[in-house]
Formats: sequence, C-alpha cells, structure tokens
Amino acid sequence: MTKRFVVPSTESVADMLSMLYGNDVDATEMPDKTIAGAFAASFVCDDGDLVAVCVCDPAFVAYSGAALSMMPVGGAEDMLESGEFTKTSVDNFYEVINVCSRLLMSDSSAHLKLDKVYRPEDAVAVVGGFSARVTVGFKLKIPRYGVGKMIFSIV
Amino acid sequence: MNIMVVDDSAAMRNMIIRTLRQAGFGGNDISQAEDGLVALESIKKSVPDLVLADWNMPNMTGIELLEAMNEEGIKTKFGFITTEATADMRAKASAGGAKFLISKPFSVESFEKVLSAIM
Repeated sequence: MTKRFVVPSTESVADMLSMLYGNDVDATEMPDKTIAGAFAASFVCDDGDLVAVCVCDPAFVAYSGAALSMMPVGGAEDMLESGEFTKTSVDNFYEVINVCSRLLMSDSSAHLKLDKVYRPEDAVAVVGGFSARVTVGFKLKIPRYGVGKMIFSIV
Repeated sequence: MNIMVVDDSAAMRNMIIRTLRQAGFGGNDISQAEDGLVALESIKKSVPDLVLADWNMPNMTGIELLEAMNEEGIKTKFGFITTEATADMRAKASAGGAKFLISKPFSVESFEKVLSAIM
C-alpha cells in the first residue's frame, strides 16, 4: 500500500509553532482555502516529485519571520504596509516552513522535504499547477505579533 | 568551554544561542558558522569543545562536516540540531561519533537534558 503524508490539524500546527516560538500560538481552522497575494513553499518526496505545497499570506510571512528573529513587530508591519519583504524575512519564512515540514510526516508516513519558497510573483505558477488530494487551512495568532494564514495542500 | 553553532539560518543560530543561555550554558564562549565549510576552516584553527550543527546546509552539510573532522583526526564533542531526524540520519550521526541529535523545534528543557549529560 502506498504511504501517504500526514494531514496537519489545528492541534499539531499550534503545538509545532508554539514550541518554535516558546509561546502559545492559537490556531483555528479556516473554511476559506484561498489566499490572495500569497507566498508559497513546495515540498518534494524522495523521488523529487512535488507532493505538497504550503501557501501563507503576507501577514504570516512577516509576523512569523519577525518572531523567529525576535524583531520588533513594527518592522513586520512596515513590510506589510510597503509590500517589500526583506531577504531576511523570506529566509526566516523558509526556516519556519522547514520546521513545519515535520507536520506532514510521521514515523510511518511517506517522506518529504522542503524544496523552495516562492514570493507571490512566482507562487502562482507553483500553486496553480498542483493537484491536491486534501487541503487544510489555518488562521494563526502569533503572540505579540499578529494573525496570519497558512494553507497546506497535499497529494 | 567553547561552543560552535553551525546553521545556515542566522535566525536559527540566534535562537540556538538564546536557548543555550536559557538552559544555563550562557557562560561559555559561543561562536557561529553559516555552513559546514566555514565551520571546518575555523575548527582547523581552533577546536571548540562542542559543535552544534544543522544537518542540511549549503556547501558542506552537517554530516559532511563531522566526516571531514574525523578524516582530519579532529576529536571533539559533536551534536546535531536539525528539523529531520530519521532513523537513517540517527544511524549515520551515531556512526560518525555524534553524541546526540536534537529535533527542531527544540525546547530549553531538551537542551538542559541533552547537554547536561555530556558537558
């Protein structure tokens, strides 16, 4: 039987991000599975095939990246207002999503790894061509920073 | 005691150093390297007492760093702090002489438990 990937839950996402930040992150399921102007991340299996994508709104990228570096929230809000995301913020987003790749795996699941992250201008092509078996979305409140959205689509 | 933190993410290096301090190891000298190659050059000049390395890094991975140190005959305590921690990775790390493998995201408690046992 073909091994599948794990579908993240509100609990697993909240636990993973809470452990990453050392603070309680609130997660609620998001019925609407679309995000405008999203950043994206692609995940590949051991054969190199695209097996999952994660899309996040600019707020999640800004707040999660700032929280990782413990940067002031004002810096994140400036990026959201200008729409200009620094290399550091995107690098931090990569690291957050790299940690979140564990949400899609268990000891008995198939194996994947984070391949790349994409800014919004490049994300559409990656997400648009991907056919998912299941899609789950979360609204995430990062303490002292703000609320962002994250969607996983998995084969 | 000298501790070297090796990770290609500056934010993660800072997070590891912060966690070291919170776990009571802040009194040590802590240096940083952005990948295995940079770390190896530094280690050849001055061997730290402990290396904490990520697994996946550009230029030279963590396990390649450990193997290179073994080939050079450099003996020091070595542990991995990495997102992935498969059975195969644990076996390779152990075969190379690594003392431990901590999964990201990590906690202050995990640092206290693992590092207290070897330091």
